[in-house]
Parts: sequence; C-alpha cells; structure tokens
Amino acid sequence: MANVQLNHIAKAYAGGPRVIRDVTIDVKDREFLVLVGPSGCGKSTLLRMIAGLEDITDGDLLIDGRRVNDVPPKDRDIAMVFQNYALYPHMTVFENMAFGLTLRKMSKVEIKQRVEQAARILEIEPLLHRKPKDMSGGQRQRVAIGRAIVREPKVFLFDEPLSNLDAKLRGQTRIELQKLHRQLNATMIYVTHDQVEAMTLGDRIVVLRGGDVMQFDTPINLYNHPVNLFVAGFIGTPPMNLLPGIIQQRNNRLTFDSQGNTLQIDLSKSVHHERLQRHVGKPVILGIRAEHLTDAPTSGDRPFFSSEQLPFEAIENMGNEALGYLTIEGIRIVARLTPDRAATLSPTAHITLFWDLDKVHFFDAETELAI
Amino acid sequence: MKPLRYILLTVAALTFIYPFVWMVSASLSSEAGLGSLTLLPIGASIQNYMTVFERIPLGRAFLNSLFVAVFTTGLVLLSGAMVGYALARMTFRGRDAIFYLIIFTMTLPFQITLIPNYITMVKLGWVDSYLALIVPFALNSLSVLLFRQAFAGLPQALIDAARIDGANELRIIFQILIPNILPTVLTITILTFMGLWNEALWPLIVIRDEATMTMPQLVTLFSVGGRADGQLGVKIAAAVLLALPIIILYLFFQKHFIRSMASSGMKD
Amino acid sequence: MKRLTPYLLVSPYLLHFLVFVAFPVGFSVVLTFHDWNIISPMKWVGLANYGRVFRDREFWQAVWNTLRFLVVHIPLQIAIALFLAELLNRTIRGAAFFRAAFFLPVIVSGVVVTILWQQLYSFNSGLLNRGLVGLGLGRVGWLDDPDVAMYSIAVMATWKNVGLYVILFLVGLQSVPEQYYEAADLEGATTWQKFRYITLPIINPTLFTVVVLSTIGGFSLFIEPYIMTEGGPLNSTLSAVMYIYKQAFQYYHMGYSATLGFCFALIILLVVIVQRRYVEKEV
Ligand SMILES: Nc1ncnc2c1ncn2[C@@H]1O[C@H](COP(=O)(O)OP(=O)(O)OP(=O)(O)O)[C@@H](O)[C@H]1O
Ligand SMILES: [Mg+2]
Repeated sequence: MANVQLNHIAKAYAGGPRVIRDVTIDVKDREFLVLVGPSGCGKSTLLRMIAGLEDITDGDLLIDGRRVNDVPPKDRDIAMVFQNYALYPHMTVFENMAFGLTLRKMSKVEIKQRVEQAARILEIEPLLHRKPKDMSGGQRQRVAIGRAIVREPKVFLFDEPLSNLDAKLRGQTRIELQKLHRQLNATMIYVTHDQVEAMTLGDRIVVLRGGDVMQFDTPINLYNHPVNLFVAGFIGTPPMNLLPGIIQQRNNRLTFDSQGNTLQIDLSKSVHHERLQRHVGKPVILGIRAEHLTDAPTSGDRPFFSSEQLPFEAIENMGNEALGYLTIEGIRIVARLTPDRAATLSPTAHITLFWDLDKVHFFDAETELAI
Repeated sequence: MKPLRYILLTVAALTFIYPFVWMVSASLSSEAGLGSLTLLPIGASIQNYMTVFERIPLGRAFLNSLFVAVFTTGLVLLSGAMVGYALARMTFRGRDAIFYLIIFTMTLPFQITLIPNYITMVKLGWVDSYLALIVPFALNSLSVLLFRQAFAGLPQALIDAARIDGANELRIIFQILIPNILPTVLTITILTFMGLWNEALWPLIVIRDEATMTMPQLVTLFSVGGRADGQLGVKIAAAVLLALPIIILYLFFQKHFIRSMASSGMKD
Repeated sequence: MKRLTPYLLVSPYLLHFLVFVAFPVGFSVVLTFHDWNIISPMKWVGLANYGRVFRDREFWQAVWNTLRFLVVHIPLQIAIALFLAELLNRTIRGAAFFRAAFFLPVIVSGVVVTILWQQLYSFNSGLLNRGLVGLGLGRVGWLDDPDVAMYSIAVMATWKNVGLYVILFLVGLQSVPEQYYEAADLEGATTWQKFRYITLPIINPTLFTVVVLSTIGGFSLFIEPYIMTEGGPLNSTLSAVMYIYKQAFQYYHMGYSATLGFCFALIILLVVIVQRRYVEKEV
C-alpha cells in the first residue's frame, strides 16, 4: 500500500549543474512505473533520490503522503535491486537475504521463514548456502531480487536489473518480474535504458532526457501519441522514420514536401488536414513507423500515398517480419515488407511503398513538439 | 642461463637464512664453541637461555610486548578503517586538507617530534606506563592511506545496498567492507605488528621501569649494559628469543603476506 | 547527524594529529629558542641554540657519519635489490621460497640483527675474521677501525632491509608488459639495453620511492650503532639521531636537542629534494 509522489524534484551534485531539473511524477499504489531514457539522463539519480541514497536538492518526495526528504533509506520502507546485484560477496545467499532483517531485529525463526519463502518463489532454494561468486549471473540476479522481497517493502526500486543478463535470460526474467509484481501487489519503480523493457513492463512510463520529463504516459499512448520528436525517436523498434520537409498549400491541396522535393505527399484526405493548416509554409518533420510504410496498401479505406519505385539498399528477413532499408534525401528509412514477398526480392530491388497517411506524425521542426 | 640464475638465487637465500641458523646453534653452544661455521651446536646446552632468564625479566617483557603490539595493532586497524573510509567514500568539507595533513605527517622526520612527544608523555604522567607505548602509535598514516585506497576500489552499490538494508556507517565499514579487503587488512596488521614489536627507540625514551619494558628494549639494554658480562652466547640467546615470535608469525603468514603486500598497492 | 558522520569518523585522526604532530612541531619551534632541562623553568636564549649548532663539531661529525653511511647503503641496496628482483622476476619455481628468504631479515628487529652481526664482525672470534685468517689473510677491524666501522654498519643495514626493496622492485618489474621485451628481442637488443631502455624507465617511480624510503630510513639510523659500537671508535659511528638522543636524554639539553632535530630535518629535506631532481632527470 504505497503511492510515491515527486513534487518539483531537482538535483545538483556538489558544485555541479542540475542533472535533474524539475520532475513531478505521482506513482500510484501497486503501479509498475518505468523510468526510461538514454544514458546519463538522470534515471539512476532520480531512483537513488527516492531510495534516500542521494540528497534531494529541491522539491518534495512523499511516500504514502509523508514527506521523506530527510528520512534515511532504512526508514523509508523501500528495497532496491542494483544493476550489478551488489550482493555481499562474503556472505552466503541466506545471509545476504537475511542481513536486512537481522538489522531490523526480527526473530531468527521469522527470518528463516521469510527467506525460505522468497527462495521458494524465486526457485533458489538449493542455492541458499552458496556464496555469490559460485553462482551464475541469472542466479545472482534472483538472489538480489530475493533480498528485496524478504523485506516486504512498500516500494521496490530496480536500477537496470536485467542489463547484465544475456538476451534470452532477460526475456524470461521480464516475464517473471511481471508475475512477481502481480503476486506481491507492491509499488515498483524500475529504471532501464531499454525501451523494449519499458514497454513490456510498465503500467506507465516516464521518458527522461537531460534531467527533464519528456512524457509520462502508458506504453500504448507513448507509442501512438509521442508528444515530441525525442519520444517518437526513442520509443519503438525499429525507430520511427523522421523526414524533414515543409507544409505547402497548392490550389486547395495541402501537401508535405520533403526538403529535397523528392516527395510530395498529398494530405488533403488525411486526418491531419485541419491541424496542419496553421503550419503552412513552415518547416515540419514527418514521422512514420516502419509498419505504416509497407509494400502493400493498407486494408480498409484509410488514405495512403504511394511513392515511386525506390531502390532498396538492404533487406532483413526474419521470417515473421521483413525490413527493407533505403535512403531518401540522405536519410535512412526503414519499411516493413511482407516476408514472403521479401524472400523473392533481390536486395537492391526497386519497389513501390505505401504510406499509411492516418498513422503519420508531424512535429514542429523548431519546437520539436507534436502537431 | 637458467642454472646460473638458480645458483645465484640460492647463494643469496643462504646469505639471508644462514646467519639465523647459526644464531640459533650458537645460542645453544658453549662459549668456547662460538665463532665456528656450524649448523649444529657445539656442546649443546641451554645454559645461555637459563642465564638470560636469570638476569632479566624477559618473560614479563614478552607479555608486555605482546600486549602492547596486539592492542595497538587493533587500535590502528580500527582508526585506520574509520578514517580511511571517510576519506575514500564520503564527501565533506576539509577532506582534501586532511589527506594532505596525512601526507605531511608521513614525510615529517620523527626527529622533530621526538622530544616534544617525550615531554607530552612526561606532562601526562604516562612515563613508565603502557599508555606511552600505545597511544602515540594508535593511529598510523600509512594504514589510513592503505585503507583509503582499498575502500576506494570497492563498488558503491555494496555500500548503497547495506544502507538500504539498514546498516549504519560503522556497520558498513566493519561488517560489509572489511571482509572484502582482507588482503589489505592482513598487510596492515602484519606491518603494524612488526613495527610495534620491533620498536626499540621510543620505549628506551619513555620507559625506565624494568617491569614495563618491551622485549627489544630490554634486550638492547641487556646487550649494551654490562649485564651480559660480555658473554656473546647469552646476548645471542636473548636475540633469538626476541626474534622467535615474529619469525614464527611470519612463517605462518608469509605466503599471504607477500602476495597481499604486492596486491594492496604498497608500491606507492 | 548525517552531516556530522564524516567528522566523527575522522575525529580520531584529528585528535591524534593535534597531540602528536601539530603540537610537537609547534612546541619544537618554541623549544629551539629556549634552554630547558625539563625540571627547571624554560629559559629564553634567542637564537643561541642555532648558533651553537654551527659550532658543534660533534654534531657535524655525526651528520657526516650519517652521510657516509647513506653513500654506501643506498647504492648498494638498490643494486642488490634490483639484481635479486630481476633474477626473481623470471623465476617461476621456488620464487615464493626465495622471496620469503630475502624478506626474513626485514621482519626481525634491528636489535636482533645488530647482535648477530656484532658477532660476525667481532675482531677476535668473528666468523668473518676467522674466514680471512683461514684464507691466510689478516684480520680486519670491522667495528674497531674508525675508517671501516660505519661501512660495516652500512653493509649490515643493507642485509637487513634489502628484502623489502626486492619486493617493491618485483611489483614494479611485473608491471612491465612482456611484449616490450619480445619487441626488443626482435630488434636484437642486448640484455643491458633492454634493462636500460625498457625496464628502468618503467620502474623509475619505484626507484624513486626506494631511494626516498631508504634515505629517510637511513637518516634515522640509531639502534644499530647504539648497540654495536655506542658511537665509537673515535665517534666514527655516532649517527645524528644518536647524538640528538644523547643531547636530550643524557645531558637533558632539551632546547638544544630540538634545535638539532630541526636542523637535521632540514638537511634530510634538502637531500631528498636533490635526489628527486637527480633521479627524475637521470632516467
Ligand atoms: N556522484 C555524481 N557526481 C556528479 N555527477 C554525477 C554523479 N552521478 C551521476 N552524475 C551525473 O548526473 C547525470 C545523470 O547520471 P545518472 O547516473 O543518473 O544517469 P543514468 O540515466 O542512470 O545513466 P545510465 O543509463 O548510464 O546509468 C550524468 O550527467 C552524470 O554524469
Ligand atoms: Mg544509471
């Protein structure tokens, strides 16, 4: 039972500039919140402030309505899982998990019971008497989570807990973390720079950049309605195609002309028509995801634009999906092709692409905000 | 090339070991048998040792030395770890200043502080007491620097995890970090213990009472003063007794010691 | 509380520093301007103590003796330590044994070593002279000849300390990447060239550390001559620290002794600075 509120939180390390500028987030009870952003954007700093490992320079941090800015970590009722697990190397798994409980003067019997229960959940019972150095990365990772679970904290904090695992194990653990979240019914705040992790785990996601919140929303909204160019480029694999150009009004027709004029896309029938009126003659950036730029027209009656035949530079066919790469005016563009069709194409084939106009995004080239 | 190297090394090793072997055998010889290049004592007897114990309270001095060295080493480890941790892992005003003070202390010749320190002992009334042997050595700059370096090399997450688990700074230092820098602890322990055990000048200055004297001091006074009656065998027996504890300790730990000394950055 | 923690942690150091470093240094300065025998009150004498230092033949003899000791001790120590370290560096089998053997005298009290060598050096019954006589040569007054005694002590001190420096050099040598030597071999470098142009520059910092450590150690020479020769014969082994000790604890000239300590510390500082420039330039 815990909600976490960050009100205008700011952070400057001793003598340095502000690395967190003005962050306001409310994390609901039992929510799985993900902080995501590129390296150095301040994710860890933010998490460490919530944990109480770093002083808060400005703003208020509330856990369950209580201001905890000056409360030491041990009294915040939180637990944290670290990137390198930070297990105590000289202690066995049991001792590692029991340490925090011992310091809280819990009875031996209860400690044993809690540790064993957590070990059961995480399937690490046979490891209880091993030292961290005698375990695999995945096992250590479980112990690190176990150390947090036994404490039964109000809030779990994770700082890139999966980044040291190989791809397969990372996928499995992601699923287990979701399961765990449901089982434990606890609030979780999770830091990652991997947007796939963010999208799959988060109830809501905070996208950070340079110490500022770019967008705070559900995964699906981030994906479908990025509020600015940064979020658009950051969320989604492959990244959204971004093409600079200008909005033109020509005898009743509203078009997007790419910078070098190789493309003139008629937007008259698209849903953007209204909104773009105010940007006529102004530079904008068009964004389109690969799945909306395909080798076949969209089903239904959504308007589309078909470009002239363009030469591909490379085709990646993974069986379930195929991606084709080409360059338009010096900008790398990726389109999604039908795998069966892609298999018959030579890697440098010329092909007509269909642009799903209702799924196109526009951003103001100056403010970088979505239009 | 290779055999030559081993011959040279062996000759060198003998040069360092043989005198000790000779010392033991000489101490067990009669006075007449001294001075020959023997491995085994000539006319074996423990007379020399009997004489030593008759003339000076060496047993008492041994206990004094042991008490002083063990207790002081403990204090050095305690204080060194605390100060080293603060210097390595905490930010606070004056931290750099303290670091430079430590460097200054290390380069300061002891000749300058010797007399005033003696006077401090006199004024505190510590002359002829264990305090005079313990307190001035209870903190040592080299150990602070070695601890600082070792703590600086540990991951921050270890400290963070302990803090979240609810450990305070002292617990973090002694329960979480120290077990992970045992080579450094061992190096500091041995260096400090050795230095304290062998210290002869300071006790000569602050201790006059035979009952409080440490072993090196007593043996020094014994061999300088007339009490050995110029009997070399007796002096050597006293020297053997002085060397024995530290050599036993060394043989016990030497494998760890040299390795940890090399790895704990004694090079600078 | 949180802000105070670091200061609490360093407080033992600060306290110790104040009592055993800051106060003594300050008090030392004061003492140098006074005459004081501990019992009667201090008497202000201005710069008289300093004047006396310059006229004190015995002190300068002691300084000179100490320098004579260093001039033999340091080069000998470095040469032997480097040589042994270089031998050990390429040795795998038995390396631990040899290191341990070399280190043995380091851990033993100077008192023990001195008593031991006093016997080796003994004029009539010492092993060295017996050996010389056995070879049909004459006896040497190792500790009895004023021209020889200090050098005998220097050799003994080298024997005692060299193991420590072997280890220090060994650590330095092991940081030299093997490829450097392989590359040099390809270019046909001689053993000496490899040592001069690869090994020496890389272990230069170690070399400097060793020089400084053994200089400072050498300047504190006390217990060895104190036991072996009590400064004799003819004051030829009287070391500076011995003389300072004598002034303080035999004659109770506390002020003068402190002045000597200061002047001697200054001399040490001077020597270290000169060494630093020389060592850094040379390699
Ligand atoms: N202890 C510190 N002192 C000074 N600056 C720091 C400190 N820790 C982090 N910073 C700076 O604060 C900014 C944010 O760092 P932070 O570690 O929070 O980034 P991050 O988003 O976690 O990055 P990553 O994905 O690489 O872990 C960076 O510019 C970093 O250089
Ligand atoms: Mg981080």
